[in-house]
Amino acid sequence: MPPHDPQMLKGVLGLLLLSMLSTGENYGYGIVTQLRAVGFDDLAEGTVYPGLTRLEAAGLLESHLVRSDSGPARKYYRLTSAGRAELTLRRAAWDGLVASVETATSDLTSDATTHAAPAAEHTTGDPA
Amino acid sequence: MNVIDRVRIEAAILRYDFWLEMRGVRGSRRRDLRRELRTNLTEATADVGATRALFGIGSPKELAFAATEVDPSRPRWSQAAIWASAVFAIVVFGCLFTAIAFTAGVEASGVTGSTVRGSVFPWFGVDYAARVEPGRGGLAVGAGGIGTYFFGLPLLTFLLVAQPWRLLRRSRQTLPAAE
Repeated sequence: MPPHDPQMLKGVLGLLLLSMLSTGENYGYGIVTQLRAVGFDDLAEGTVYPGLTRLEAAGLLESHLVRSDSGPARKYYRLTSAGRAELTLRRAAWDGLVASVETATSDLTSDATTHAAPAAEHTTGDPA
Repeated sequence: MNVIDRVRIEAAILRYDFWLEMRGVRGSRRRDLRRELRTNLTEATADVGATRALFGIGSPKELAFAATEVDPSRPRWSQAAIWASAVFAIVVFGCLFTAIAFTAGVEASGVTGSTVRGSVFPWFGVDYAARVEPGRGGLAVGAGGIGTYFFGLPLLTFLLVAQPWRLLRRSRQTLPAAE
């Protein structure tokens, strides 16, 4: 899979984090591994942790500490009701964006095909 | 996790905490953020090793800045204290330098046995005085009204950097949430 554009990732980070937490509560590094498992290998922890902090500050996530056998207590995040509503909004916005981009790029593809056809004819006709 | 990894993680957390403090994050919040980073780094180290775990978080300074973008900050007391101390040191050095130059000027002019007073740029309102005793019998130097510079400038710097009015902003931000 080609690497993701960091700017694009930044734009959808909130949606990704809310989506990951919609399946159940998780802690910082747990979310990072969850994201890596679904193909976001290039998403650094340094991007994810502040993202969680921002969502929590915005009231979209709530957190609580859970004791861990492997080390210090983990801070688990879960969606608040405002977070669920925000996730629905962001999903709808994302679907709308994807649909628009697909329409635009498919138009471009068909345009490119129609423009490429005469050129191809011209090229094939050239040696004669 | 070996001792070296533990030390590297703690060093990163210390730098993270320093920049949180510089950003004016209050103590309890800093403790929370520190604890969370420690947990995440410990988990990541167990998974991929300390080098990759520390590489993953990037610069602790940038991490601290990114984590506190929306934080209602308290006044930046520590940063203000550092800057005020620096300004105080500069004022003391400048005052001493000027006093030495003024005395040297009086000595060079050959005036002995009487006190010479004058103002020196840029010390407006400061009355420099120097007295050179005849036959190199000694010299005395003073600067009246320098206290304004000694205490006023560092205090002004402290206030401008600390921005105590942030307390008002914080209380305004927390008020609707409390309601």
